Amino acid sequence: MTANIATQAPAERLEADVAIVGAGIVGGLMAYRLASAGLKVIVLESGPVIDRVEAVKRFHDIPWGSVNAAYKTEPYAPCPPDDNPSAFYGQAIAQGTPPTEQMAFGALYLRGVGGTSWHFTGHAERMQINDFRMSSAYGRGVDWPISYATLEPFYEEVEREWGVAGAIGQTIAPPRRADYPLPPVPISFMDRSVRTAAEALKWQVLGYPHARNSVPYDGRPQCCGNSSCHFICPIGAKYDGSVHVEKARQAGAQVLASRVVFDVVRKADGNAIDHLRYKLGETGGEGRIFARQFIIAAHAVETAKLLLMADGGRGVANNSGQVGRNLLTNVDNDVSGYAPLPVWPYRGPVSATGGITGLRDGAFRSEHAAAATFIVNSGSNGDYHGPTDEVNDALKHGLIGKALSRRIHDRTARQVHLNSAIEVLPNPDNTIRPDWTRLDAKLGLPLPKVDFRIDDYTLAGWRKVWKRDYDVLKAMGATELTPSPYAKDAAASLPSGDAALVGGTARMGTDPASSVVDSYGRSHDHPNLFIVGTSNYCTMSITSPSLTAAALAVRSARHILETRGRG
Amino acid sequence: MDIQHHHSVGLKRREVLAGLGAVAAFATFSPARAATEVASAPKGFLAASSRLCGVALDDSYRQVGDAVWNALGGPADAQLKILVELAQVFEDEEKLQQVLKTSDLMPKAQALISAWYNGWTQDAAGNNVLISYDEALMWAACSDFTKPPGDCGGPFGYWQDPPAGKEG
Repeated sequence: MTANIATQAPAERLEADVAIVGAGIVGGLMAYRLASAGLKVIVLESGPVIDRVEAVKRFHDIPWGSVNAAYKTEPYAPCPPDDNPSAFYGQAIAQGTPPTEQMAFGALYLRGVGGTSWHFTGHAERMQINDFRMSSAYGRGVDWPISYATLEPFYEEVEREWGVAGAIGQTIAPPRRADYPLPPVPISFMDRSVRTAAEALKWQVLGYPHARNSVPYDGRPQCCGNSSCHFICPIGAKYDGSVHVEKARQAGAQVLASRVVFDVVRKADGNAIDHLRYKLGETGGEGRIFARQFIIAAHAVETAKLLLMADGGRGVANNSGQVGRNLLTNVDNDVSGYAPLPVWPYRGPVSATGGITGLRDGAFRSEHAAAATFIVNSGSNGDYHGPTDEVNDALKHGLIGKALSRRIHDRTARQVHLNSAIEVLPNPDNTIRPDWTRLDAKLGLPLPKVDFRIDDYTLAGWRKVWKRDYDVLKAMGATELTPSPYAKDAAASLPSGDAALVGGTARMGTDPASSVVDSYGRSHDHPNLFIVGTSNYCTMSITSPSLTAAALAVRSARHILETRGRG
Repeated sequence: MDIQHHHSVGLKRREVLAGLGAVAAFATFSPARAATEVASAPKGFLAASSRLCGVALDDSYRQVGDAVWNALGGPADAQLKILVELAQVFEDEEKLQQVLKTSDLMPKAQALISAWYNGWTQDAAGNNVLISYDEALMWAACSDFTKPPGDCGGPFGYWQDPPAGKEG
């Protein structure tokens, strides 16, 4: 089945110097920079405006929900549901299929003004130096066309824009020239409890750098430990993409929600892009936006889908054939149990204030994948539903009254949980495609189709970190641990594909035959088309991806301003 | 409270036990009507819930109590009425637990506890029904060290030390 989207007389016609698709972290920041320089900027966002007060209320009204619970999914901008994302991605995996053949892809994203950052963890790590040179350093994956040194000044700019909190020597980070703009977010008592056990095994525990205010900054308040960051920050102490979308608006940019771009149209003469076609989400009517330059910053999934569905399904920016390929993510592992003494979870920022280092980078990456480990402040319940599991456990034991409430309290206070994200290398067979056999019910546009598997490199890294995390909790004296990596049947276990990180699909490079864009995000095929975001990533690393995407955005915006008018 | 002297609830022990036999036929949870009915929980419902849940419930919980009562079947649910009476009569928690186990009231008691603690339940059709987010008793049971997500927890950095008066 192929593309068949009827052409309508446009109900809306827009013109701008720069048209941006996507009002998330990247789109908002680029709109702000470009509008501040005096350009006429229009941002089209497929999803709705997200109102923080309404989102918090929705979160309260759906306590059984998961990370997307606070947000309304509009039928014209569908995104993966919490309960079965792999079905949204069109995966049907037979039981027993090895993950090296096919694996459930569980990454969630949001479509709305501010984007997925509404429920990101707020961790703001820079990528590590060797993340940019995996092939040179370890003979694995590929090198980026830029280095850490190239990106460092842009990291610094973004850290000031966001208000990143940390302290050299106390915070997980590659070497850096200057200290953080904001003082560090302290690690939790639970982090310190785990640290004692980890250090006995020669592992180090450090705090994460945070995009949440450790002091009032940029008109946003100081964090007060609401412990709901992974759903929503009710007070806006955690940075999210809506901050710079609003700054862009104040700088003169026009931000239009519920505009679902579905086509990228070339000029009749030459390779430049002439206009974008979009659907009005509420009515289904068609709009067109004409501009001198176009930026697509619509998340690694939707960006690739749009580029491939454009031009009647023939695609744009894809002379390399690489659009939609090299889909990147991390896979997940969880180890949890009960500490011998209370560690007091459910306090402070979640998912984590601290992590165990040692498997993030090193010579071992020539043999197995890296891993980032988070000491989870939100207890053992992966969906952050609090002591619900302990309630159900107490009921299973037939308890009532004070015996029940005591058990819930005592076990909740001792919950300890380590979550690790494991690196996945680029694989051209891991893809995002528009699925013309599955169309959304409102606009009739294709849903994304995922093809995804991991390799032995990732599995080896997963086994390593599973054992490490298990050993740490064991050394802590924790009991009732989740299944042991040393058990006879451990080989039957699998990592989870639930990590929220998504990248690749429009990667950068110097060779137009093997990459989609140059290091500034400019399409190799269309001189006035930029594709910017985690989609540009050549490798994924195990660092939280948003800060690097924002640094790429600032670098790209500067390049656009510096080269504007040169043809 | 000694059951032999507990007349204020209008039910004597033998009547309670007789009631247990009478509700034996009500094997299933039947809250279907609750979704549309809004009735006040009977006097004694908070006291009964408090005993079953092990958390003190004063009058500030009245609205939440009404929500639980209705979600579990309200006045139309004979098992619920018996459970409420029973929980008030048996002051000794272990005895009450024993009676619940030997009757068929334990599922109803557990549905009540689950609704109070989790802040939501399911109706007969399997639809989720919100009781209360902030007043879910799982947070009350842990209130000496935490609170519901989304509520401010205290001054910046409070999480780096054990809760006041606590140790690790």
